[in-house]
Amino acid sequence: MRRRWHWFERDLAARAGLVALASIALLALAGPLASPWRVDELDWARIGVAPGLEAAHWFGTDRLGRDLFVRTLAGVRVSLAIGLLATLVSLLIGVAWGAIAGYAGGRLEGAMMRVVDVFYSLPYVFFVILLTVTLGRSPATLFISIGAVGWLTMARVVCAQTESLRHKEFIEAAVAAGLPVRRILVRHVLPNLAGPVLVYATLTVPGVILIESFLSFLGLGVQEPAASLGNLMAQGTAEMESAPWMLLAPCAFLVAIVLALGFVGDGLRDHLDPRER
Amino acid sequence: MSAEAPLLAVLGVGVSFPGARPPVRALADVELRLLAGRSLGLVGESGAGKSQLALAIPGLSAPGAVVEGSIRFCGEELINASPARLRALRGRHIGFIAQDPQAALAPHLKVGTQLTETLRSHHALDARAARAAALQMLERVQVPAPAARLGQYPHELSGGLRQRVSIAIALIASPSLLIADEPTTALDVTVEAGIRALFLKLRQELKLALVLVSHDLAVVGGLCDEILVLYAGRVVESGPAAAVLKDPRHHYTAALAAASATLEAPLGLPLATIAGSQPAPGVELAGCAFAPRCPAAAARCHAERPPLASVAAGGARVACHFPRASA
Amino acid sequence: MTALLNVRNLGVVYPDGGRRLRALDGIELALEAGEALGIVGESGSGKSTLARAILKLIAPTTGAIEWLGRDIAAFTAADLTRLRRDLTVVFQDPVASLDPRLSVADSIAEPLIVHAPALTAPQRSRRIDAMLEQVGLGSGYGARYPHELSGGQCQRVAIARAMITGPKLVVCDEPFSALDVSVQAQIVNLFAELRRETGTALLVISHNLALVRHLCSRVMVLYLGRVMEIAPAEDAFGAPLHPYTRLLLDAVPRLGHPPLALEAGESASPFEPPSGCVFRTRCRHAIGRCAVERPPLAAAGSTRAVACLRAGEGVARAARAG
Repeated sequence: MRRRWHWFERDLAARAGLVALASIALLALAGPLASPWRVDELDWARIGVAPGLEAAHWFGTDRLGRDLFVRTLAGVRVSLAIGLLATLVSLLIGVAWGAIAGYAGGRLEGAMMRVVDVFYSLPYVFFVILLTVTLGRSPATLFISIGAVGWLTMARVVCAQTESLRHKEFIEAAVAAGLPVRRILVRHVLPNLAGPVLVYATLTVPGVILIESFLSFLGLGVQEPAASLGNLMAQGTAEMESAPWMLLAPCAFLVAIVLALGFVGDGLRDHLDPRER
Repeated sequence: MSAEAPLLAVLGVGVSFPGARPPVRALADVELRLLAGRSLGLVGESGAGKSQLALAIPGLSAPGAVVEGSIRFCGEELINASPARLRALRGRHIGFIAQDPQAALAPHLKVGTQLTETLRSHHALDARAARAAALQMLERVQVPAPAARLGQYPHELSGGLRQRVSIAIALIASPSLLIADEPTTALDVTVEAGIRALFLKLRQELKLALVLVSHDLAVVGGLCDEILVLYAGRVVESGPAAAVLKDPRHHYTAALAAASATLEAPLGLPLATIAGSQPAPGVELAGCAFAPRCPAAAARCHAERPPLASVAAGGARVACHFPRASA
Repeated sequence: MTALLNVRNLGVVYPDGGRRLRALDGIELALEAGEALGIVGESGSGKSTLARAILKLIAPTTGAIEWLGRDIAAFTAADLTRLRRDLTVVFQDPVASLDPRLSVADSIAEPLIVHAPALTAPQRSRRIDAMLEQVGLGSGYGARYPHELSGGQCQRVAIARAMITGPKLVVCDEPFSALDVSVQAQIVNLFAELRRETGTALLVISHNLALVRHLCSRVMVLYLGRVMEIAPAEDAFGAPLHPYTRLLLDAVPRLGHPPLALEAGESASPFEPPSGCVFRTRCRHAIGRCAVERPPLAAAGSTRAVACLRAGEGVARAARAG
């Protein structure tokens, strides 16, 4: 196992990305404890102040006098949670769906992948609005609506990978040895999918975070007074000229998270894709 | 013979990959001379460095490779020659044939385009003259229905025809040296036999010098005047092919010949094998690299690397402290 | 006594777009227990298709494959499990045929877990260690991974995996072609030794005639999906009866001989096989009748059979001069 991580010590960008992610997550969890303010607490005395040390408003406050340091970190927590959870959902559905379709081949594969195509062709924002209207606005709805679409690409990637694995000699050897299908899938197919799947998952997380930000920006995602990077940026955009810090803080965190995940994903891909030696 | 200036003179050539983990020395201290119109076979097992040598001569070593020593072609030093100069040489004077004809031909270009491309860029021929030359070359490599082939794509040809086309491409600018890296490995035995016969015919017709990489001693024996046997990146034996193959002086050459199954060998006995395996890439032994597998190895073989030294009047040289007795 | 394996009038047709590729046509074959049979031919001759049909990896279009006298198409799940234990396979590319994520011991353990589930873990690892010794690797290799091994060592692992269930027949699909010359000889010797020790029958598909001659007692020559000749290896390669066998022999490079100028061209297209004898378009001895009549696989003496109208005239006997 130690050998597996050896590359990581050499890949500077990936290492920096992972360190950055860990620090952001730690800050998002522990940071608010250091601040005297709560997420929805209003400070009537200081409305729309710029970042500074005064009254511990390190990132300043918004138009209602809420502390932006605490709100931004709360937004980071929501974004990371949504990113990870929605990716996990898409991972579970996508890998199962794609692996079964790809391994079965033939008509079953055709039928299963047509279902994916149908989902793909739905207009996404319309779909989310529909879900929000029927299920009501809540973080749960957001997970469902992002996860419901996020697995499609994963299913396609996994299906194609499984199909090429199915024709590998070691899979044929397993079939010829009389191993049951379930064992072949679990023991031979899934572990060999781990590389591409893991890489694709790290690339999905930033995508999901961006979708969440976009939906919240449109007012379809996380709702006031809860904070997410998306609705913080939406408010920040409105006050861009008079209070640029309201936009800058959430933007900086979003960019840092997306970049860091990108580096980690690239590192994993470089390491795993050309056959681990 | 030594008075004549060689077409190709390789001296002290080494190829190493210092960036690899562990750093690998793929080839060391290689020395060879090839006269115009003569043919040389590079023989060895995978990892012996034969392909590295074939690639290093025309400057085609993989990125990250460090090539040292001296490679002179018609008196011109090729090591550290500019990429543009090497490209020009490869286009006109040195032809190269890769192992896999499928990979060597561009899949999206018609055979005719690929054949005439070289001519038009290096010889400034017009389209009609280039087409005529292409047709003639396809006939020479015995491609049936050559005119129709010009308009076909590589995937429409069989494996044997593809290899003939890539030979035609390598030869179209009339090079004086042709380097072929295992040109028949990917082909059926019958097709391979046809390609070997073609090489023999082309050499006679075009007075072409040939460097042929092969793992098969019989192939080299049939096509080459000279032979160079490589083991773990070093020359272990070199000399006239017929003499070396008939009476190998190095224990490795002899063991390799004995291990090659033939259709004549008596049945009922186990095949001769060579115990153990080649040292892993990156492992450098102090003595002779073959010593751990050699039936005649003594203490000196493990401690001291034998130099390549003359053993016979015919130009045969062997790197062994205790060469086999001449038969 | 029933043969171990009986192939009766086997035909396999692959649909390919609008065309039909007849990969195998009317194959007849009987294999006795403990026998080593070689199958030779160019690419497109159907040798790998035959192996895959016997292994039940593909279904025959016509004809039947019988294992110990029973058609494998009618096998129940339990029969099939037993078949997978008794009939195993070694593939061409030793590295690709091992799961890169399993250790050597885990790879060899796979068939045991299915076919001998009653074994305890220590019993299983004892059997694996013994098997590793038998294929000349030593039990220390159990913890290694395929990428740490050479091609020859990987092939030994694949052979150990094929032999661990004590099979009656091992099908070997081009087991030498990815290996170096000196390693090929080692693997041939290993197969011969295992066969002698265990009595396992071998079906060896290879284009290397010299290795087949060394390992196999009988040889079957295929061309475009049909049997051209079947004979004891020594006879087939010493005195072939079919011109195609002669062509294959002439193509083998020999030390001390310049290459022959073979004019026999390349294999005809399996999509449009020639009428009559499929080999006639490349045969030096073809006559008018060859284009009309499909030569039957006829007995020639007690041990051989050949599908050539002119076999009786001894057309294939003379080696081509250089």
